[in-house]
Amino acid sequence: MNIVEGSGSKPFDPAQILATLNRHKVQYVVIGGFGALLHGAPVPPTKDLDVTPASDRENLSRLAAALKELEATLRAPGLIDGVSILLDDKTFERMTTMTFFTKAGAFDASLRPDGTEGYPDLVRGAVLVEFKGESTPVAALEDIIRSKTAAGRTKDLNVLADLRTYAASHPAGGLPHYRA
Amino acid sequence: MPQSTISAYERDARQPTLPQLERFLKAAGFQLRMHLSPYDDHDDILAQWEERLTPEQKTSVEAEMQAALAAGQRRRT
Repeated sequence: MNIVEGSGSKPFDPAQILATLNRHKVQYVVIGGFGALLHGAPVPPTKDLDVTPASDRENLSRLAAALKELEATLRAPGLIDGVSILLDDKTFERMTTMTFFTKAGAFDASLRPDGTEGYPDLVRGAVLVEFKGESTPVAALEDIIRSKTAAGRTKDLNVLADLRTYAASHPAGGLPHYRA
Repeated sequence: MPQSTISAYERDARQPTLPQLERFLKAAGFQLRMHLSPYDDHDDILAQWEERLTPEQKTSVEAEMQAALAAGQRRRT
């Protein structure tokens, strides 16, 4: 195992990660806590960027290229620094979720988040949000709630109540729909 | 059960025991199902990551979160 010292101590710069994904034309939607923030939902600060990429081989190759540029290393249980791995489309063959440290902070790729059918399911309701100059496709808040509900983590319970209240009072009607 | 106890649960001032919770759920037509799953240390690793940041980096992370929130709220106004 080749641990890359210092890889787990880079500051978080989500715009840099998003810019790299966009430049490599990766098809993805932002999910999780950062996705909720991009809906304007007042959730606790998150420390990573979670996305669901399209799972076709060409897209996973583009994702792998973007991750190479971001100097991604694998976040592994019990290690505070990442582990270097070969990054190509096959990297994702046996995994549905992979967690990375990158030079722009923590990044998770989840091919099939809990309670969803993956990218085709999430992109249907996705909206486009402009974040620091990057057009960012974000899963619908209702889909983020659906996934967090299915995950059933205790830590999400309070957040879920707040998210449901926010979603009910802030319909996404005014947001531009994302077209992949 | 006294109303004051229910009120304490609602105010998060007390927690029901597991048998009490099961009784409440049964009365409401539900049952609790629990299962064990492997421990996910995702958040532990990120907490360690956060500890290693300098104060300036922590401020920068907070600023990123605020920027994301502002971007989302701008889109809805």
